[in-house]
Amino acid sequence: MKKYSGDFNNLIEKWNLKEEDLWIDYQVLGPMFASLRMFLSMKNVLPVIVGSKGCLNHLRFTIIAWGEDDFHLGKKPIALLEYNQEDIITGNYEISDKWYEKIKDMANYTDTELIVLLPTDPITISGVNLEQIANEINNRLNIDTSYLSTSAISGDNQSEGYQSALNALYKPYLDKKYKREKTVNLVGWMWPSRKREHEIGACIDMLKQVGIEVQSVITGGSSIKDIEESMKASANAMVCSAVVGDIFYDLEEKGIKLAGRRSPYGFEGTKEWLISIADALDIDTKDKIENLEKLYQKDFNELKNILKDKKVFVSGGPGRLIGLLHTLIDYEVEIKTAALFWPHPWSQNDLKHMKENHNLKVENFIVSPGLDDLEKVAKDYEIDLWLGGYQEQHIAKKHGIPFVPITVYTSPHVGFEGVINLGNKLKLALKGYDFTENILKAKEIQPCIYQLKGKE
Amino acid sequence: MYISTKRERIEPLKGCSMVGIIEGILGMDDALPLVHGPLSCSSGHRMVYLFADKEPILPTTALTEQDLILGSQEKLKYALEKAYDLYKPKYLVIIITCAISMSGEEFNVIINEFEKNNNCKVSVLDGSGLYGEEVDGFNLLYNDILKQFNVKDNHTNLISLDGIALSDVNVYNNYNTLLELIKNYTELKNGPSIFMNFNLENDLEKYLKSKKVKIGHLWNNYKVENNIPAPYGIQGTFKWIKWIEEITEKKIKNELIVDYNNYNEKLNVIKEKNNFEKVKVIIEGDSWSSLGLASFIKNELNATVFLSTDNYGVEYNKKHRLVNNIYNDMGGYELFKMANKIDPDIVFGSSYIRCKKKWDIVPFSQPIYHLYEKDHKLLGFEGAFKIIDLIKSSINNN
Repeated sequence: MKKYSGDFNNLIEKWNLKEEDLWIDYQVLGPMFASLRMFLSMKNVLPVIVGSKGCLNHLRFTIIAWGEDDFHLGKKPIALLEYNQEDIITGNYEISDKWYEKIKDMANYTDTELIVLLPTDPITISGVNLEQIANEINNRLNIDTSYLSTSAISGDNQSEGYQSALNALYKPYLDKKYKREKTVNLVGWMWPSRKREHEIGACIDMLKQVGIEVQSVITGGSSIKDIEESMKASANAMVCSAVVGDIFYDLEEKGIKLAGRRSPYGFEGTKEWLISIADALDIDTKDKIENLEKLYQKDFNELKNILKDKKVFVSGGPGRLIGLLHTLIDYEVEIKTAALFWPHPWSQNDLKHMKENHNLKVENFIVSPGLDDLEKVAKDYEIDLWLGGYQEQHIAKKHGIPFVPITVYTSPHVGFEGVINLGNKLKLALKGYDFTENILKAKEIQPCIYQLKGKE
Repeated sequence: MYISTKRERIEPLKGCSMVGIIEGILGMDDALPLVHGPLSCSSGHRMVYLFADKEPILPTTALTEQDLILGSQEKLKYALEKAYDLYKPKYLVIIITCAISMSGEEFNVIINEFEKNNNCKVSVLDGSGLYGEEVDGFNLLYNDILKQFNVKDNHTNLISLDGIALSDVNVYNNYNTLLELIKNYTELKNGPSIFMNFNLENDLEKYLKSKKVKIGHLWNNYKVENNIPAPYGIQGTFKWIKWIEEITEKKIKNELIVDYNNYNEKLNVIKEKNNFEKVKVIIEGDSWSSLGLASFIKNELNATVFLSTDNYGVEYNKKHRLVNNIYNDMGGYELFKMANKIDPDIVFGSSYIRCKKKWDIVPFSQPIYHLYEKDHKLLGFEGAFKIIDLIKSSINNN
């Protein structure tokens, strides 16, 4: 895996990541997780893991445990088409009648419109022709069946998986023509929820207040039909840019502009996001954006007085970290170390943008941090506040640093309201409040929501 | 070792061999796993540490396809050295994944050289799903420890109850109940258990002297004639203590018969007042614990039990007929869907089968999301009455 630790300016100029052979990773998940996460949070899609059962077991837990209650994921099936070592060596990929019977039952129960086969490593390595298996399933069950060609071994982070899943979802629509509407798709939401108190609800509501209509959300909570509907929008905007793959450049060539490239965090970041979307749709909405921002200004000023100049550690994935940096710049904290969970093809440009356009200053920067790197940060820097992935709680607690989880939460950190929500959490942490209920569950605060009045 | 050949499982309850290895090793303070394979195999299994309420230190070489083509030996060599420098383990287990298992790479030269220079034993264990099941991994690790540290069984008063893992649901309640049973009804002394916060440096010497009793995840050899499941219920607990007597050849105390009769009488009084015959119970879990619980509920309370367990449990049940309705490694949504049809009064299982609107759930097997369900002391004589209380309360609720 590719790592970096050191000077921020040097990193963004040269992007000289080094291959490391041992990783005490605590936060990154692999390509299979990424693809499965997309399909599992969609309506009418049944993912089937092909090969070894272990992948099903851990991926099922990792996804459902964090999303079932908090983001309405509910009980969703992930099926297995199991082959053992002997099957793979002898090339025996026959499917039993009993398996068909069970899958048909499951597909009926969940209104499945699309089955997606996800290979495990033995299948990828042995070069099995999944197209043939997909066709067989399609013919037998009369349900569209697609397949991916990436498995766990295809990459050391989520990127390959997101790209591969998006390509499979968009493929049927790329050559069709659609009439564009003045709407935007929100890309990168991973859960079925559309609740106002969650980040997706906050984004949809914020866009509505400033007069922008959302076409589709990609992919959480959407159906196959919503993917096709998304082809009618005039722009794609990122809720989380970590998921972005080359497909969005292809879509741009087809007339769906890429707008709001960085997640809407912080006052500046949110304004930048909204204006970029409005520009892409050719809508003038600057006054509404400013009015919405003003609603949160008083709360912001109070929090800034408390948080300014505090020494902070912050970590996050490629989408979230950029966003959090926006918020922290607004509060004028001193960022001692920032850590990027995994490098995305956009990360270098995003960080450059943050330096050049938003005057980002970071003393030390880590790419692909491990628990060993975090121990070093906790020892070497005097940190007042630790914003990090949920498993960083151990290190923060060990070193007595106030900790705010940024991967396990429900109240939005996005939008103008997110600046206040996060600021309130930072304030509470400084006062000694513990946001960790247990090793799997975080405590949450009531979100702060102000609305522009109808006439505005 | 069990290798599935029927291709009929669509949502297995249990994981691959790697899960078993991690479940065991995380209970050894000065041991370290190193996942030699793709990042996903490490990251996905961090959950096992979380179940045990532990920081998920699960280092990996994070291999990609390119590494497989070029060979992964150099990577592993470096990773071994660095992992040792960081954590100074006394025992380091390299867990190979499906990709490496298929590539057939061997690492003996690297390991021999490493062991020559460092005070640390190193093993390579196959954690791939192609190689075996969760329970196979646990046994693989255990057998390796016996070999690496020259552990022998002894005929002695000191016993080690091996096979309980820190990641098990309700682990401390369960383990302490077992220790109490040993203490109350035998003259045996409880020694260290290999996966229960075991420290090689401090505990090995004592462990080497003890009689080892395989329970929990190590109870998987259904071919052993006198093997019996976990001590649930009055009969079940009595039989379990008698089994301890049999395998240790140390006579039990007379108090056992006295207590057994008293508890039996108490149970009979409850059964006279309550008819459990119409009660439907679903149980989901590892064979040792779930067969013990299922047997109590079905054979002592006469309720109807539906049990999903690992294949070893299924094979054991074929011979001993503890329950009638048994499902091989059925989990997730498939089991949930079946539960909807059964409409149980109460479920002992994981969060996959949780449905608070329809039935009561007692946390019994991993995974338990968010750890919000309450733990109960269900093992042993006293546990039987707690189980009855839970069943009675679920009947009243429903």
